[in-house]
Amino acid sequence: MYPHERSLVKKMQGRPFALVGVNSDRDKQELQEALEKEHITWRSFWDKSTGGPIASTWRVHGWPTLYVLDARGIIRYKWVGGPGEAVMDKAIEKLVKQATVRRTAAR
Amino acid sequence: MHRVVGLLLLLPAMAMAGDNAKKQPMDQYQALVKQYNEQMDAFREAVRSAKTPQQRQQAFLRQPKTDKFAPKFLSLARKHPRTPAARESTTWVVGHASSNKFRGQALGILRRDWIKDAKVGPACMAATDILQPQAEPFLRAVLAKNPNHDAQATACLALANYLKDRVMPAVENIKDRPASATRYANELGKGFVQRLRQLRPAKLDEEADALYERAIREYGDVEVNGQAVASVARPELFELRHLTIGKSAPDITGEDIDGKTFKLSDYRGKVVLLDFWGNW
Repeated sequence: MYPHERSLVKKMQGRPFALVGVNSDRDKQELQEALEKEHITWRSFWDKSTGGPIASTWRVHGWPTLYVLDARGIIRYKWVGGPGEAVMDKAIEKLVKQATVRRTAAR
Repeated sequence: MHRVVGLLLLLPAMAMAGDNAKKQPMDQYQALVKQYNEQMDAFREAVRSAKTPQQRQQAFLRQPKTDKFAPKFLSLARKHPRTPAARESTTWVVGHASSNKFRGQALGILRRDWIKDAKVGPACMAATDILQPQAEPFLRAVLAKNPNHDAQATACLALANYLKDRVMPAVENIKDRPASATRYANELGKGFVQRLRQLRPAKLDEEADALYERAIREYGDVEVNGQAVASVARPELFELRHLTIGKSAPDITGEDIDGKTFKLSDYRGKVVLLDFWGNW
């Protein structure tokens, strides 16, 4: 999971994309160690448990749950459990292209 | 004297033989359920107490095969049609069988014999577990024809959930991923996939929305699995309106690990992969 996320962040540098986490670990110390060890550079909301307020509002029942929002904040994909790297990359690439065109056109 | 004693001795024996010969269908149903549950308990214990990867592998082999039990439940239902044992057996198959064939057969029996039964609720909830061609016609029939208020309530909620959680995601999957379409066709039939292709997400959304509203309005106080329908339907309706494909995501305001507050909407203008994760 982490290697793919790291490579995604690297690949998308300079393009209109952001990886945002919602983390459900209870122990701050353990979480900080994990962030360092796995070189997790993207930001996460710290929800503090699988029953945390964000996971509850978003009705998350399985981990990981992944949402892809387009540049206007519309939900375009939802996966419970990873759908595989190829599927994710294709979906994200398509939306980032659209966001880039929109950005360029707006100038 | 001898004759009376003889008769008295004979009577209990006759009664026992009678019990064994016509073991009631419900008793047979209970026995099958008990057998399955005991195997599940043994399986779980084996997994729990496994200490090495090899032991874990061995433990997983002990998982009871629902598709070995399903034919037994179906056979019981067919031998004793229109008895409570038939209703319970077919409900068990709908909720437990992994094979589409067995679930389909069970739903067929339920639709033929049980849509007007006051106790068909659990079968309705079981039907929402997995995408299945016969589930929707069954649920619609119960909602339309069952005279019992509580059964209607369950069918209304179940149909809404089924559309939101099974049909709508399948329609999206088929659009985006040809491999999904092939898989669905293999498991559920080409005809079913063709029907799915013709469904419009907006219309499904509208219907599910209306069903949740109806559940709250008409059946709000009915208790299903110990919860009032309204309190179950409201969060489902929220999910439908705000967390499904095409909806504007709710904003999030929260703290990161360093205690700094930020918002999801800070990233507007960028494509966001929102990843619910944990290291546990």
